[in-house]
Amino acid sequence: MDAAYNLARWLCGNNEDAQDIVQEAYMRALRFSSSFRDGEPRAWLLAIVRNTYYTEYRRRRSAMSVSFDEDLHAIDSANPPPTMGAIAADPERTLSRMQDARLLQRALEQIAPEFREALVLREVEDLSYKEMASVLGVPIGTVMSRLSRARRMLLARFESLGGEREYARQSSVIYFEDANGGAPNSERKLR
Amino acid sequence: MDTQFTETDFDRRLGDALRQHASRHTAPPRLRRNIAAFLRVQRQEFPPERAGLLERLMRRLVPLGAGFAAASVVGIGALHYQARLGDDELLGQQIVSARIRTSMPTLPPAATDARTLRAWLSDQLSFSPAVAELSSDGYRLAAGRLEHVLGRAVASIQYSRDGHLVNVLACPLRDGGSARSFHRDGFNVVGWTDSQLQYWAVSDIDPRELSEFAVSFRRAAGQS
Repeated sequence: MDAAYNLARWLCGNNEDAQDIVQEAYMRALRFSSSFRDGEPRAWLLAIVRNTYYTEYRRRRSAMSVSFDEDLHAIDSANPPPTMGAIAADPERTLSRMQDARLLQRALEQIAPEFREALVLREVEDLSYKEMASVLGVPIGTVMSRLSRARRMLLARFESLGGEREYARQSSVIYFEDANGGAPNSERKLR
Repeated sequence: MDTQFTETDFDRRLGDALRQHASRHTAPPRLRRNIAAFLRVQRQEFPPERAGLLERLMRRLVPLGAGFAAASVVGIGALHYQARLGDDELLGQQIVSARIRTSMPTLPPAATDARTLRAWLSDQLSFSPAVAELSSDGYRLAAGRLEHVLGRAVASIQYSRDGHLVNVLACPLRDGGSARSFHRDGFNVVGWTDSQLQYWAVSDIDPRELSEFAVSFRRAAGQS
């Protein structure tokens, strides 16, 4: 249940909605229990949590849909992901700065849900590519390309947040302490 | 497989950073309780051929522990879940239950003696509720029927005395059940359990009389 909640919480960005999603997902899981054959019940449940989020919740968020669709389009396009060098000029420095938990967390919150969920499933929930393919309903190759792209997205977001923070520090503007965290894409409560 | 996407050392270190710093949110106790209660209700309703699957799923997906125990504080565990539903949802559920109830089988009053009624209820249900013969206490067996409560079939045995009705409702016991007595909307409720079933006596007679009725019922049914 923790895995289900963790995914829901990362997808919708707040506690109340995450609880609703998980509860709804369990109801659906029972309703569609005949669709469970063999294999890993966790992956099966996570797939339902994910579907519940996308069908029930995301449609309420039309404000986010434009930028999201662009991101999604990029997933299946033939373009290679941006190279590391284009994002992080100094990967070692970037990695050491990633020890800033708050900033990393915020960057992850701000990338599109399709990429966020990929990183959460892989790095936080420790799913295999095969399990991820089953949860996301895509081939393993797509899982890998999506993860790859998600990492670049996270880095790009991280870099830009880091930049904002550097700027904030220099100019004494407190970007991260106001109600919205000063982040342009911060998650809004669904209702 | 596309080799351009294999994990680099940088990717692995990024993963380490995420594992270390990104929150792994854990399900709040309230959610655990709700889901445990929900699944308990469902377990009753599940078609037998798929019950094994449900058990398997539940074992894997619901961590047993605090959530399960805490959900049973109210007589039917599901009441806890119900209490969390919005008013609209609850009303909707009650309305559907009321509609289903009208199509549940009823045993005509003429056919009611304790033995017949018990046999009839056992045929209709997956359990066999006690039916006490209480005419010596002035309670006449009036009717038997199935009720629909919180999505479950429940046995209902109706007694009458001096123009007042006492209904005894029975359903399988879960998680120790409850022997709560309470008053609601002009009705008194006395609850008790035997080794397998949970019983409630519900009536508009006063609480003392209803308690005496419950004692008589249990004695006559060999429960005490």
